[in-house]
Amino acid sequence: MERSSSTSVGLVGAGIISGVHVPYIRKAGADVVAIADADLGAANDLADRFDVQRTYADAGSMLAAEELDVVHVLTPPHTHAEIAVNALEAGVHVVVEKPAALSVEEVNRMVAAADKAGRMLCVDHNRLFDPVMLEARRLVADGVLGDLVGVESYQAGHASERAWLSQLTGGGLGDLLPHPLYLQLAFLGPVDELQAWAFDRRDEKGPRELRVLMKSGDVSGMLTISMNAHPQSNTLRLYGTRMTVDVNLNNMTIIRRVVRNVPKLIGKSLPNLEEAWQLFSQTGRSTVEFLTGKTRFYPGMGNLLSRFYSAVDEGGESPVSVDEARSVVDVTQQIWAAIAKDGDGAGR
Amino acid sequence: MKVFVTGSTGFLGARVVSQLCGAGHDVTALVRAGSDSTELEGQGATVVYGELENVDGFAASLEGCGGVIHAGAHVQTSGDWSVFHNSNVLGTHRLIEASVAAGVRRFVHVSSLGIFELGRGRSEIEVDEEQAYDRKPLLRGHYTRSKIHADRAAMAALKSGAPVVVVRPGVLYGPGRPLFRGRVSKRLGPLRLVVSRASYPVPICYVENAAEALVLAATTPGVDGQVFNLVDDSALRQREYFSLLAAAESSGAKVVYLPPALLLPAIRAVAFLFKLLKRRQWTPAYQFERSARNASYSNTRAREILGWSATVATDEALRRSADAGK
Ligand SMILES: NC(=O)c1ccc[n+]([C@@H]2O[C@H](COP(=O)([O-])OP(=O)(O)OC[C@H]3O[C@@H](n4cnc5c(N)ncnc54)[C@H](O)[C@@H]3O)[C@@H](O)[C@H]2O)c1
Repeated sequence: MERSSSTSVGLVGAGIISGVHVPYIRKAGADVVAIADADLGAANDLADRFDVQRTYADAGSMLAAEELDVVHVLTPPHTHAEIAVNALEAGVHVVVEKPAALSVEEVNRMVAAADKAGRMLCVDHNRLFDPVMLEARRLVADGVLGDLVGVESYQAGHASERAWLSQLTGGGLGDLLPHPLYLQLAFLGPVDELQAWAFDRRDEKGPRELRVLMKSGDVSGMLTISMNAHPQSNTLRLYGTRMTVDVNLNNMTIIRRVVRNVPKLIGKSLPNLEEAWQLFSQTGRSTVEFLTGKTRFYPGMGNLLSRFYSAVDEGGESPVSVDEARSVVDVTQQIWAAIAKDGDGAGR
Repeated sequence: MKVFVTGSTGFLGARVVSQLCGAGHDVTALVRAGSDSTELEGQGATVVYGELENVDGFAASLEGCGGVIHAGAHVQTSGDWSVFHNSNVLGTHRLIEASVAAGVRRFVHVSSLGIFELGRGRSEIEVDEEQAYDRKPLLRGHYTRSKIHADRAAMAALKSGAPVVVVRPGVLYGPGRPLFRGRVSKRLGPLRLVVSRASYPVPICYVENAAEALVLAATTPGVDGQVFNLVDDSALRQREYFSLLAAAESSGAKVVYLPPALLLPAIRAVAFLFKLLKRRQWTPAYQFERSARNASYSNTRAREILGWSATVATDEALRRSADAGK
């Protein structure tokens, strides 16, 4: 007995992130019918966990054997382009994990294949769809923040150990970079100037610290990744002419600061009380949502995939454009090129 | 035809080899180092030593074979998962790959009827070749789980266009193995308690009949990509089976059926406590629920497409098996 579902999905890559995709695909109303992984045991383990009927040892066999509508490419970044192009040529829509690929040239090949097949290519820039980020984007888009002046992001954390990190420029730090970068670029637009520093290479797996300074027209972006700072943190701050917005992507809170025309005496304490209140009420809400299972892990991926699958069903647009996919890969290449030019130090 | 047989010293594989040799085929038999191969050689089979964990080690012997019958598997009730995975899952996958590469024109994978999802409850479920795999393979033990994964590997190749045929026999019996006495049953003095209902089907297959199906699957033209569930007699019910068994053994044990529904509440209560205390599933409960299901399996496809039928009828098959046990 096959379950009948309008949209059939196949996964390529049954690693850590695949277990996050499956429930969200199902929540979006589609069904995962097959899994391909070069490590057949990994494919079978995932199939056991999520009751998926068929597994394959390579993406090509899966594409040949199954009638799929969508393929999720969840393999290491250096393998994305080839797998995605083959899938698009087979006529399916593709969701590809971040980063879309390792070079602009690869992304262009993927986009060309998508255009030729008339299928969507959607990169999983999941954090853009976290509820707090949706709110921040709304504040900017609706002009509530005034004109945007600058974007700052700070990420302190580490990448989980996987063999393919050595194939990625910047190693573990390079694995972390796409997230803050696509968040920044969503607000900045095309980058005209860029400086980057990478340092602390004590463990040979790549740098542990990265600073990037970008300018796009009159807006600046500052990006920090630190694998030394503790505790983990992941924040994005937007400075506007009327409002400052502080997004905490770890704790899922968003704080707005506006100019208040009040007497000096309260002027010092009112903002603190306002911040405290925002934190307090959002903490309450997010705790309830977490406990009731509404937001769990990677809530942004749930929102992104629900939009993507609506677009599959109704013929709409991908929630993440191919230009966004390309610009992240493009700026990533520029960052590492700038760093390489300067040896270990600053690049310009 | 030149046929390569794995599991050739096994319960089923040995019969496959003798039937093939008897029919004048040129048989190459895969044998584990250290196994006794005199009988195989006596029948005229060529013996190749190798392990399913290392298909590359014997892949050269697949050259020139028209068919492969894969009846070999690591069959144990305990041991590390990695051993089952390497020999049964990866072994099957690589053997198919190597066979295709060697130009083999037909690959017959021997699976089992134990791999399916049966659902819950008392209603009768008709299991056909399209039935989904068990939704809880982790509760099935390493062997069955590996057979599910191996079936997936064979189906993957089949669906990608490889000349694969999958045969899934029911519970195999025959001389050299204890007779089937119900999945859950106990002898109590003059009584045999069987957890089932007299009207429930008995999905068994006599080993010689199963071997015939495999030979047909390897040699019949035009059946590439077919899947066959295999039981001797789809209509065989517990009541009839146990009376045939009593006749074959001329034993007087009276069969008493314990309706599964009667025991299920107690089993579920134990399972609940077990989960509470040990924080994991009590697997016997799941296996009990499965074995108590009223599931019937059809052999229609095997009869219609392979032209197979159970040459040895159940009464005769039981008699031969019982005699061999004496
Ligand atoms: N959006 C996020 O927040 C997020 C989080 C983690 C990982 N990721 C991304 O997801 C992707 C996978 O990461 P992961 O952590 O799951 O990695 P992983 O190493 O756990 O899993 C990768 C899997 O791909 C398989 N594989 C490798 N090459 C293959 C090929 N050519 N064909 C088929 N299978 C192949 C491997 O066997 C492995 O099982 C990466 O692009 C990574 O950047 C995204």
